[in-house]
Amino acid sequence: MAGQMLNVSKTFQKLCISSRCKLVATIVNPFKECDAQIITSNSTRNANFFSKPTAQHLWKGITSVSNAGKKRGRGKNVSKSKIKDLNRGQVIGLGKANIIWPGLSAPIIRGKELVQQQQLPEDPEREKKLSQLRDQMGIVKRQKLSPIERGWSGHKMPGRSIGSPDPIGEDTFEGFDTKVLELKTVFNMKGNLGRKRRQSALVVTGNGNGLAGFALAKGSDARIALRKAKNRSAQKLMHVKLFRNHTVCHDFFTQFDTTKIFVYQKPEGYGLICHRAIKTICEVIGIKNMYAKVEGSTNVNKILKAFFLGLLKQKTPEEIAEEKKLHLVELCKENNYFPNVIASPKECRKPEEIPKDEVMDYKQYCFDGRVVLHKKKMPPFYSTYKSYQIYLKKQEKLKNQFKVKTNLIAEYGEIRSFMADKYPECTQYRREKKSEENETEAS
Amino acid sequence: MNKLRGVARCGLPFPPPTKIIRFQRQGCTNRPFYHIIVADVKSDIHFPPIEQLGTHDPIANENNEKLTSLNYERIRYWLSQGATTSRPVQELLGLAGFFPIHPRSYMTAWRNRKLAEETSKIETTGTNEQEKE
Amino acid sequence: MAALRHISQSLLRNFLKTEIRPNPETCSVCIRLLNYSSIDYDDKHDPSPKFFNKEVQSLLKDLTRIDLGKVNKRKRLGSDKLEEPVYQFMTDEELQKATEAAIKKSEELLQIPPVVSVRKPINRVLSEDPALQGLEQSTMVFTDITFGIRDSDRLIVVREPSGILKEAEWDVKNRMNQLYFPKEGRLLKPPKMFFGEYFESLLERKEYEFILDRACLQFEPNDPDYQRVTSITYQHVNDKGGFEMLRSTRHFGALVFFLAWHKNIDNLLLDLIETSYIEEGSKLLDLYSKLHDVNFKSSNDLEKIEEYIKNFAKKKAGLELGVQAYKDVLKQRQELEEGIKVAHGLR
Repeated sequence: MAGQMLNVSKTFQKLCISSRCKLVATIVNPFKECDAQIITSNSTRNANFFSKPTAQHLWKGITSVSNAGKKRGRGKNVSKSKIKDLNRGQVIGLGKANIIWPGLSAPIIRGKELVQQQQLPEDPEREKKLSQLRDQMGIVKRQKLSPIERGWSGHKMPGRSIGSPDPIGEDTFEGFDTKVLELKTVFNMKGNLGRKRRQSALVVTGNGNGLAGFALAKGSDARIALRKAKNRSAQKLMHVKLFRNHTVCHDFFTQFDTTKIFVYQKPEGYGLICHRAIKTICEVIGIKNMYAKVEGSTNVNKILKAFFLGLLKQKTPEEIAEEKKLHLVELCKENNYFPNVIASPKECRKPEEIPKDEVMDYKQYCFDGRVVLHKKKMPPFYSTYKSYQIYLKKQEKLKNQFKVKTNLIAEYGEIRSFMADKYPECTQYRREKKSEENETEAS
Repeated sequence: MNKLRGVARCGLPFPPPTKIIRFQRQGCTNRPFYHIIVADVKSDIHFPPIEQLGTHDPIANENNEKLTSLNYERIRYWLSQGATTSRPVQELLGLAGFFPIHPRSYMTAWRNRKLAEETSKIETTGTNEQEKE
Repeated sequence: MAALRHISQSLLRNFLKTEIRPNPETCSVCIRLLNYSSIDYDDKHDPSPKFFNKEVQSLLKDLTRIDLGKVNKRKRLGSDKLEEPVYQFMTDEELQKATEAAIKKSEELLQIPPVVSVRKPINRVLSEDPALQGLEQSTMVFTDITFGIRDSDRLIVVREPSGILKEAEWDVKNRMNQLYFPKEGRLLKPPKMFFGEYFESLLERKEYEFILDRACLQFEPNDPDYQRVTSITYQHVNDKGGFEMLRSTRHFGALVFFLAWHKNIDNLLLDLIETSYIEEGSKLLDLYSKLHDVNFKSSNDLEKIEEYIKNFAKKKAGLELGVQAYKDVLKQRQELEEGIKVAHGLR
């Protein structure tokens, strides 16, 4: 019985341990030597456990778990990457001993000569090639994405660009770019099919110059869903007004369901500081500088719709001036607050004609009379600690250190006192490198 | 009676001054720097002063200058209020041409000159002896 | 029309290159900084009474040619991000008021830095006391920090190791003023950009406005260093024709005054004729006549210029050609207008 068990374990090892494991050599080799012993000491049987179940059966036992077992949480570590076909790369007639078998691994007659059976020197590369083949088995290599192509997160689709929509007849979408906002699996119950699984894609497309559209589409495959959504979004293009071709026309508030967005116009060089979905949409539309704060639900669908609603409701400066019947003037610190008239109405109102309760503050006018709550920033918790006060006192003497250092470097080329000529120790102390010390000691 | 008291103070001002213009050491270890302040005569040296009247840096700078700043207007005011001055401040104001030069300055200068003469003499004699040898 | 003018200008320039200006090969050698020497306003002829004359000031202002857009052009204020603009609703009156206030403010920005002669060294001994010899190894500097005194009036005295008490030199005075009453942007030691290769490279890059702004900030107008930096820059501008870069800035008036004072206005005059600003050219000659007590007989702009070329100009050939080209352009313009009238059937 014990001998049988030994045999079983031996076979298992042969079956499932990959050759990169060093164990193989250590375990298998001793058996080889004592093969004769086993044969002599044990009575042989023609039929045993291993001849009854087929190879397929045995494989299944190792590489998969029964349904009942799965429910109990078994076989969690079993994955396809662990299943290795050890027969791959092996050909009958070609083995470790490099022997030519005419009729099996070589033709019987080569040219006019009869091929003889002969042993060639062992091929040292064979084993290496086999192990390399087995190592690669089960590992699917993902294609590497460049940082520019990457989406919001790792290898996921959302945030990634999928090119311009397909042309329709003669209409091509040149200069358009489509970006994925959402790609998810959705299920639907069917009468005959049960739970039907599909992919749902939400994409936004635009030419980076104020023309943009979005669409949601489903398909059996991610690729199909994305293509469908991309082409559908190209059919629903909207025009968005831009201010000086880089930002939104004015600050505004917008809401869709429970998603509220406060959008602020920003000067050039500010960048897009907002939710990643809004940032992606802005990139597609061509807005380069903006700040947006999302309150409430951050569902991508809702954000998208709320943002587009707000963008479409924007008024150009000319419209604002005409509506107010007043000049709209920009005052900029960089221009010494020189009044720059952005838009003028056809007829300007006189001061008497303006009612007293009219909203004259531009920001408040843009937010439609709303007053945005800007929470006061609390001082950090440690600011009241005595230890922090002591720390501040100690840091006080270092407040100009950086400036002084840079000035010294500019003047002398190094950090040194003006007394350094008289007293050479008035320069920055530098510890000698350790390696040099060691070398000197050794020598 | 008052006159008598004045006599008793041997010509020193009466009533005795309550305020003094003096140095207050600021700066850190091995790097002195002084504020010229007006303070109560009996107040601790570290007490916050009544008013700062200037600064004095006793260590020469890159151009071999010792820098002093003095608010003459306020110094005049406090002197008119009967404030005294400490000896170092008197010496400093003397050098600035605000007060007559303090005798101590002359004494120190004379001593320094004498010392320098002696050292130079010793050096010259020492070198001469060496040459003789 | 514009094309014609362009051609005439380019012709002129070519002519100048061959005739007046040195060859491009030798040019790099010629226009080395070494060739420029500092030209101070010496105290023999003090320029300040003439500079502060009201008529001269108004002439300089006219020649500056105020362009509000350029005066108030967008500048980065040191930080890497632009400030957020403020938007306002304004009625007609409010807008007019704001514009007027802004224009007044920009005129203040265009105030010409004063032109004065170089300061004289101070040598005022207050007292001598040889008995103090040996008291100190270093000089003692006493600064009066009384509140409300101007920097120029501040009493700064020095007690030297020899016992002499005297008023401080200019550089010590400036240093002490900056130390105890710092002005923002001014450094205790003048930066390296005003000296040697650094200054040279700045000039080569034509950073004239930067140099002059920094010089105004760093130095007093009677500082010899200030006069050295500005005079070299002005000469460089004059030779390289960088008038357009300084126009509409506060330094243009000082530049024109410098050129007129040193009788070197030919390049500027040629620039004005080339760009058809004949009126300004005549104003420049008015300034010239004011500074050097010269009278021009004719009152017509063009005739005045011709008179100047005949009597005073150093680069006569170039200027005459410029005037001729201007006349041609005028004539052609007239012909064209007449032709248009004929074509429209008005005559």
